[in-house]
Order: sequence, then structure tokens, then C-alpha cells
Amino acid sequence: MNWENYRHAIDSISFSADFQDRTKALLRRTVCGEQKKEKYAMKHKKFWRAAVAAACAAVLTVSAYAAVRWLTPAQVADYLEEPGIAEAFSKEDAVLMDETRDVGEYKVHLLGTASGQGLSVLNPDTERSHTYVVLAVERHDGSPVTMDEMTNYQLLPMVAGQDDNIAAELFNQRSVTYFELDGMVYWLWDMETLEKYADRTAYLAFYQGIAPSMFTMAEDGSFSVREDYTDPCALFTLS
Amino acid sequence: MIERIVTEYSPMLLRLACTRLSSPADAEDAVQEVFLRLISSPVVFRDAEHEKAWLIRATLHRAGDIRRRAERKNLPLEDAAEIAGPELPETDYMLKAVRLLPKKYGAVLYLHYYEGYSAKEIGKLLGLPASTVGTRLARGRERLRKILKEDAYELGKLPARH
Repeated sequence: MNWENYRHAIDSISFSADFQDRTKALLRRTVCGEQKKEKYAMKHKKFWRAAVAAACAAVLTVSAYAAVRWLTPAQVADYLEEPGIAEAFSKEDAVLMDETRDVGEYKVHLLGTASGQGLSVLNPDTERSHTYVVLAVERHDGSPVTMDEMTNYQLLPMVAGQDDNIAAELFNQRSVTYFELDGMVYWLWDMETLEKYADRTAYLAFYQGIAPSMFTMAEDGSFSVREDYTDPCALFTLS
Repeated sequence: MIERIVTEYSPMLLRLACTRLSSPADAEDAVQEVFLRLISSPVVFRDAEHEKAWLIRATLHRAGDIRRRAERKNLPLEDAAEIAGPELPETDYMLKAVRLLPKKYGAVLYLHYYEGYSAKEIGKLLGLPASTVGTRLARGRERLRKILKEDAYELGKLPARH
């Protein structure tokens, strides 16, 4: 066999000359394009973390939270060898919750949020405060969920009335780590900026697809899932 | 960051996708979808090797999905490629033959014989033991010899029989 022929054949494949330019433009459009909306009146709210804490405190007790069968956010961070984040989830100002949404064949549980600076080992940042969100995904029928199944799902933070710049900022500053344990998949999301938008309603979207075109923004800046959107999709309100 | 990744990895990922797909246009779609996936749900990469490995695996998955979609439509892949875009030159029989191999062989042959990675390096990139990569390289070569021998006419290596 002549591997030189093989290399030559591969070298002779003709791709579009503008592939990289087109792709970069597409990526830029994806970040901003779906968010192109008019500017809406902003909905002023008090600091979102405090609001979430108050709402959760009203409906959840520590014992009830501990009784559920999945890992706590601190345990999720521990499992990912992120002791700083685990500690943040153990502090009083962490927000522990169990907001559940049906998303296709899954139940998605929003388990908590915590914030702090320089907490992550994997994604260290000592200059800015980050917000961490933990979710757990289980299947309705109780059969195990695998990480491979999650590859088509996305998480996206949004804030009410966001303009293109904020959307791009939120879009660019997210990162995710996830793992599978005992038939559930746990997600740890790391976002930089939500505290900056404490005066707005903050959302976390979990959906199948690539662009967040499944959401619509009302005149007051609030988001909802488009009525004609039929693919799996959920929108959590964080405050 | 994403623009750096597009610049740095596009050429390699496009070639890699072509080990599964006969149409360059399909390969471009596969690689674009990988980049879109990356910005839609960004992954924290431990280091440059992790980043490269993720991109390689994601590209192989997407190329495999596109190929399966074409096969599910009961279109022979070559016909599907004609619809999707221009074919590769008929004389590139070696590339065609590699594409006829089961998918687990095509990627390791490409990474070894084109990109020059060792079995150990390929193992890290694909998440496989180096010994498995070695076995796949050997079996891939063996199967390739057989294909080149038995399917020489269909691959365009020899003039058509009349």
C-alpha cells in the first residue's frame, strides 16, 4: 500500500476557500443573531440571589432538601474535585432548591446556585465573581440516563430585556462540566456575570438544539418558550 | 477563543471528517456543527490536548451521524454525496477504500498515516488504550489490502471491465 497516495488524495480534497470566514461569521451570528430584539423596558428587581433564597426558604426546609435521592450541589462539586465550589454550596448564602421541569423524556432538577471568586480549580478566575449552578437529569421511567444522551442538550443563562451585547456576553462566558452517576447526569455550570444583572429577572434555559430561537421576549423583557416550539425545552426562572 | 479554534483546527477536522464522508460539503457541515455545539454548550478544557481530543471525537461523531442519515434514507452514500456536493476525484481510490472500512479503522489510519500520531498519542486523543489503537492499525491495514485487491474496479483503481 502506498500511503503517499493516501496523503496526496487527502491533500487534494477541495474545501471551500471561505470555510473559516463563513464559519466564524456563522458563529458570531449564532451568538447574537437570535437575540436581536427591540429594546424593552427593564424589569427592575432586587438582587436575584437574595430573591431566590427567599423563595426557596419559603417552600423548602433543609431536611426536605436532604431527603431527596440525588446528590446535593456540594456533593456534585466534591465529585468533580472542586472543593472551593463545594464549600460555597455549603455556606449560608448558597441557594439550594429543587425546581423540576419536564423536558421530553427527562425530569430536570435545578438543585442550587452559589457564587464566589477564585473558587474553581478547573476554571480559575481570581478577578471576577462566578455563579455556579447545579442541575440533575433523570428519566421519567427511572431508567438510567447517560452522558451521551445529553450531548444534544444545551444550557443557557438569559436575563430579562437583554440586548445583543448582554446575550453575547452571557453566551460566551459559560462553561460546563457534567458526569453520570447512578443513572443520573449531573451538570455543574459556571457563569461569570449573572450578579451584574441583579436588577433583572434571570433565567436558565435547558433545551435541545443549537440556537436559542425557541424563546420569545415579551415587551416587558420577560422570556418564555415559544408556543409553537415542540422540541424538548424548559426555562427556569432564577429570580 | 472560538475563532482561534476555528483557525487552528478547521483544516485537520475537515480532513478527518472526509475519512467518513465522501462529500467535502458534508464534511464542512459536520465541522461547522461541531463548532456550533462548542459555543452552544462550551466545555471546560483541561489543556490543549483535551481540547484537540474533544474536537476530534465530536467531529467523528457528527460525521458518523451525517453518514447514518444518508444511509437511513436508503441512498447509497456516493449518491447522497452527489446531491450534497461535488465528489472527490475518481482516482483517489485509496481514500475511497479507507472510507469503506468500518469507522473504527478509518480514524486511526488517518491520524497515524496523515497526521503522524503514534499509537499512544492516538489512544489519548480517542480515549483508547494504545494496544487497541495498534490492533486497529494492523487490522485496518489488513482490511484495506483486501478491499484494494477485491474492489479495485469499483474503486476506480483499474479501468472498468467490459
